[in-house]
Amino acid sequence: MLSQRQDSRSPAQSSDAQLRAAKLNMYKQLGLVLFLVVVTAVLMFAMTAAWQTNVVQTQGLSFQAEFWGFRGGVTVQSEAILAAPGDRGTVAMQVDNDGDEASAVTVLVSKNTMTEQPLRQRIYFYVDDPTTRGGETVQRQYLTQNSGYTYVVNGHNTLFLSDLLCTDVPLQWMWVRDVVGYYFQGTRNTDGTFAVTEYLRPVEYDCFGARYDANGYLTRVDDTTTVEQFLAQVTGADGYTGTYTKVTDNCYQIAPANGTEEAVWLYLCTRSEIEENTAWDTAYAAQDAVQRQFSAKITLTGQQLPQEVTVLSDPSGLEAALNAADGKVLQLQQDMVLSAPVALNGAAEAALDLNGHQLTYSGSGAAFQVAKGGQLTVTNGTVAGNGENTVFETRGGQISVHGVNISQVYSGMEVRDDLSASAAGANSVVRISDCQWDCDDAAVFVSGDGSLSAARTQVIIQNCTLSSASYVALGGNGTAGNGTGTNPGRWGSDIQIYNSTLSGYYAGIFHPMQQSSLTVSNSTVTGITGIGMKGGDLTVISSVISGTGTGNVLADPETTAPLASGILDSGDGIYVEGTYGYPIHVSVLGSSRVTCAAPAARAVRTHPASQNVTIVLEGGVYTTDISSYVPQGYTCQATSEGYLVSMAQ
Amino acid sequence: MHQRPQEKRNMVLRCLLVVCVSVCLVLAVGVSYGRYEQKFDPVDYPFAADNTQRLILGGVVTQSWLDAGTWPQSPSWQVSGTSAQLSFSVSNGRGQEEFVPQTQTYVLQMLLGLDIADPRQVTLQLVWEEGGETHRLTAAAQEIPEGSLLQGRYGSGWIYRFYEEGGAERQFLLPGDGLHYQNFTLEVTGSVDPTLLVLQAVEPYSN
Repeated sequence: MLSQRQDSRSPAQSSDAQLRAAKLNMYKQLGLVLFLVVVTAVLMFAMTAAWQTNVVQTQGLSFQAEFWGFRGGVTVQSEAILAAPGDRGTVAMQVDNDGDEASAVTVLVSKNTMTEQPLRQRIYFYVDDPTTRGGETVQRQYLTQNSGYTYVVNGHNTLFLSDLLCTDVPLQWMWVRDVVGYYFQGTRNTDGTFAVTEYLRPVEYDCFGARYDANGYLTRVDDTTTVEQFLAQVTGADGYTGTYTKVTDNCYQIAPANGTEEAVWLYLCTRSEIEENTAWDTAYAAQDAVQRQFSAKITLTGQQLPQEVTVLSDPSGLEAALNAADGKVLQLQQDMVLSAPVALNGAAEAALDLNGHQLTYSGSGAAFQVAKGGQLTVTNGTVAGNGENTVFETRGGQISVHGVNISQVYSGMEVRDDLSASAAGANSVVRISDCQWDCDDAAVFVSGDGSLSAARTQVIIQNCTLSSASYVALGGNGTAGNGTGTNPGRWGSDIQIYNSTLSGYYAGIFHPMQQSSLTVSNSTVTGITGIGMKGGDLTVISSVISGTGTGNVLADPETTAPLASGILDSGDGIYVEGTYGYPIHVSVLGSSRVTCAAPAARAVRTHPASQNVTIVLEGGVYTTDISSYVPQGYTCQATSEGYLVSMAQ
Repeated sequence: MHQRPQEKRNMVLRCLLVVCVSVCLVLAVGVSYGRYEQKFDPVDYPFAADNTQRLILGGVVTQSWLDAGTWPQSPSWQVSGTSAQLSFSVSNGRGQEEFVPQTQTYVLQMLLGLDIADPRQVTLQLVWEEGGETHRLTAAAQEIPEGSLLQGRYGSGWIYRFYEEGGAERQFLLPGDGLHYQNFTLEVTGSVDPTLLVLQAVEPYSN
C-alpha cells in the first residue's frame, strides 16, 4: 500500500515549489495546446494540398488521399463571336480530364451579364440531345443558370467542342431572329405585369406564315394550325409536366418553379411587338452603327462520375444483369467466356467494367447488341473473338467503349440506326476512346437511316488505334434509297476522329455516304488508298493521310471506269470518286501531310467523271502537285518536303 | 507538488485522445473537401453584334467588276412590249476582302400589290446558271394572308415564290469561305408594270 508522502520542507519552501510546479504544468499544457494547433494546421495544409496533388506527405507520414473530384482544366473561347440575328454556332470549349477516372462536367449559362433585356430574349444556349423530362420527350435542352447539361469526360481524355471538331454533343448558341415568343421564369405582380428573372427558351414559328387578329394576337401559326393546337404541341414537349393555363390574352402559366414563388410562363408576342422586335434587331447592328459587344456567363463544374458498382459473380447472367442494371456498373472479377450474344433492350442503361479482365466471345453475330433507346458503356479490359464475329452492334442505341482492346474478330462495331417504321429519329450514338482494335473486316462500320430522320448517326473515335487486315478501318454504307419509309437509304452520319490511328487494307477510311460529314483531326490514316470519298464532307485537320499502295494492286482512275459500289484502288492519299453525283466537299487544314507511294498515284485526286466535287486545300504538305485545289489567298510552293500550301502573305 | 503517476497517465491518454480525434476530424474534413465538386471560375462568352444586312441584292456581277474591285449598282428593268427582264445578283459581300463569313441560305420572293386582280395574268420565271447548266423555275402565286405580318408590312396582294418539282421552296446557298454571288434573270410576262414588283432575297425560316 502506498503511504502518504511526508513533506519535511518549510511552508515557504513548499509554497515556492508548488508555484514552480504549477508554472511547469501550465507550460506543459500550453506546449501541448501549441503542439496540437501545429499538428492540426500541418494536417489541414496537407489535406488541402491533397486537393491539388492527390498525395499528402508531411513529417515522414504519407497518406494516399482518395481523389473524388474533377482534375483537369477548362478552356473556353475568349474571342468575341461575330453574330447577328438568325445566327447560331458551337460554343468553342475544351475540357481536359487529367485524372484516371471519368468525370462529369456540368455547364450552366447565365445571361445576367447582358445589360440590355432584349438580348436576353434573343440569345439562348442549347444542346440537341433528346431526353425525357417531366414525362415528356424533349428534343432540345436549353441551358440556363439553374439547368445545365452534363458531359462525361473519361480519364486522360479531352472534350473538344468547336465548329471544326466535336467529340460530344455540341453546345450551341443561337440568336433568335424575329422574336415571336419565349418561356420565362418570374413572378406576376399585383398589377398584372411580370417581373422576369430569366428567359428560359424561345418559342418559334414562321411569323410570315402566321395570322393575327385585329388586336394583333396570334390566331394561327400557319394555314391550318390554331394557336391552341400550337401551344399543345409546344408545351407537350417542353419538359414541364402537364398543360398550360391561360392568364392573359397572350401569356400562359406553364409550371410553378421549384422551391420559390416564381413560376414558368410562356409569352406570345403580338404582331406589333414582333414588328418592334424585328426593328430592334435591325437597329442594334445597323451597318453604320458602332459595333456592340455583350457576353454570357458560362459556369463549369467538375465532379467524379457517381457510380454504383455491382460485382458480377455469375457470368451466365450477364444479359439479365445488364438489362436490370438501371445505370449501375457491373464489374467483372475474373476472365469470362461468352458463348451467345447479349441483347440490351431499349429501356436499359448499363455499364460493364471489365476490370482489366478478358472477355472471350465464341458466339456468332455481335456479342453486345443494343436496341433503339438502350445505352451501354463498356470499359477497361480486352475482348477476343473467334475471328468471324463482331463485338458491338447498335440499332438506334448508344454505345460508349473506353479502354477496351479487341482482337481476333471480324468487326469491332456495327453502327446502324433503327429502321422500323416508327423509328424516325432513332439514330445511334457511338463513342470509342482509348481502344486498340485489330479486326479482319471493318473495325467500325456505319450505316445511317437516310431520309428517315434529319438527325445524324454519330460516331466519335478518340485516342484509338483501329486496324483492318483485309478491308477498311472505318467504312460506311452509301445506299441512296428513294426517300420512302421502306427505302430511306443509309446515309446521314457525323463521324469525328481525333488523335487516332486508322489503318486498313484497301483504304484507311471509305466514306460513301451523302449528306454526311467526316472530320479527321490530329490523326493518321493509311491504306492502299488513304481515304476514299464517294459522298459527304471531309475535313482533315493536322493529320497524316497516306495511300501506301504500289504495283499491280492499283487501278488508274484516269483510264478506269468508276465502280458502281466501292472505289478504285488508286493508291492516292485522298481519292474522290464523285460518280454517284452526291455533293462532296473536301477540306484540308493545318499542318497536315497527304502522301502517296506509287509513281502514278496522287496525293489528292478526283475521278475524271466526278460531279459536284469541291476540294479546298488551305494547309498541309502533299507529295504531288495539288495547286489546282488551292484557293485564292493561299499559295502552293514546291519544296524538298513536297508541295507546301500556306496562306499568302 | 508532483503529479501522481495515475493522473499523469490520464493526462497523456487524454492528450492522445485529443490528438486522435483531431486527426480523425482533419482527415474527415480533408476527404470531404476532396469529395467536393470543383467549380471553375465563371467565364465570359463574348459576342460582337454583326451587321444584319448580309444578303446583298445588286446588279449582275461580271469578272470586270471583280477585277476592278468595284460593285455593280442596283439593277433596273428592261421592258419590251408586254414582257420585262430584271438581271440581278445576290451576293454575300462587295469585294474579295469584304464578305460575310457565315454560310447563308436564301430564297427569292416577289411581292405584288392588288394592281392585278388575277395573278395568272402575270408569269414570273427565274433563270440562272449553275454547274454549267441553265436552270429555269416558274413562280407560284399565293395571296398574302389576311392578318399576316406581310399584309401589315406590304398591304394586300400576292406573293410569288419559286418551288422545285418536289414541292419544296428553292433555296440558294452562299458559302462563307469567300466572296460568293449568283447572277439571276427574272422574266416577267403579262399586263403589269414590273416596277411595282418588290424583289426580296430572304433567309428561310428554320428552327
